[in-house]
Amino acid sequence: MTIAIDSGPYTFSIKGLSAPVVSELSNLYLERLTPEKDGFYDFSLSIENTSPLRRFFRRQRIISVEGVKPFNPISDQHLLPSIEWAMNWAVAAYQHTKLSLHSSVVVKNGKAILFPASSGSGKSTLATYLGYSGWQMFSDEMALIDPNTLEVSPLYRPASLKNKSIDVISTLCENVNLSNITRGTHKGDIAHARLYTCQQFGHFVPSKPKFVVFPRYVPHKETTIRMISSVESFAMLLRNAFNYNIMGKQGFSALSEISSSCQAMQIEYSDAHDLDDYLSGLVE
Amino acid sequence: MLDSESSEAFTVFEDGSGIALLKSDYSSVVLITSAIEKEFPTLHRLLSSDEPSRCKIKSELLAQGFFSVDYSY
Repeated sequence: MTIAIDSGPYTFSIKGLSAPVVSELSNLYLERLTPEKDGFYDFSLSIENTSPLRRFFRRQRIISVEGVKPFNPISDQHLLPSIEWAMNWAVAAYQHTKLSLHSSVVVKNGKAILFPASSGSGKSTLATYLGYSGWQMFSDEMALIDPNTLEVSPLYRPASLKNKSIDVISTLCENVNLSNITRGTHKGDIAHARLYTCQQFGHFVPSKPKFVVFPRYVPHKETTIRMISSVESFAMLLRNAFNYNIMGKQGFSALSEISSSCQAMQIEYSDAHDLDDYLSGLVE
Repeated sequence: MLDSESSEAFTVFEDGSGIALLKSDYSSVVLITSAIEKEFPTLHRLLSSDEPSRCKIKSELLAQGFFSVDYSY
């Protein structure tokens, strides 16, 4: 089957999907997943069989993104998270009209907070919890920033939860819509969380970041906050920027503007509710 | 190593914490932080002033031999 997914700023065409995978994706994307029609899509993905020789030993699939195969072959059981990763990869690799940062984004009262961090820092868990608790989660993975307005675009994508964070979110967010758990991927066990209906997402509007928070989950630790300077914020944002170098001066200027205009801080926390209170106070 | 011709753009952060320079290859950024206050007092004074001037900062940095020091991040 071939489907189309409208994530908000970008559309994807994905072909070669089995009915069970389409069903799982439908649960995550609702009406934003449609049968593919003739037309323009920003990114084309296809799920292909591996070579006959390889299949003789082990049936595997490989994902092609715009004709490029950036990932190792995978089993059918790992397709759902792999498609999500491939969609992220497509945007990070090919989209250069917006500055892209490896960062979660949440918004309240029209004010965005960026959580730039590497994988495993807990940024997805935190963004999912906040997104469930009254914030708008624009993304758990990637901040797409217009270099002219500095506004961050909302993305209709599920949060990707790994390992312990699946249990954490299941406990903290009782009614969250979780996908089946895919076990044993190269990142461990993966589940996806859909927080919003398409109608709710329709109320999300691009918003300027006002704060940059570098979060770190530390078990049993009271929330501690350390304000950081603009130049330090710049350095840390730079490490999480996918395409500032490709965007040249424009990307550099956007990073500089964000570093200058947003209060930045490092926060260590163990109580997400406590952190929610603090962050909500910031954006009142 | 930096030289004055190799930077394409730079930003002086208003909180006085430092400056960031984009090198001409567009992929290297050099950060100069206020941690160098003791070593480069003139630079620090300029960064702390209300009206930082790019040209003035550049010429003073050159005069102090700053561009012979590699603070690449």
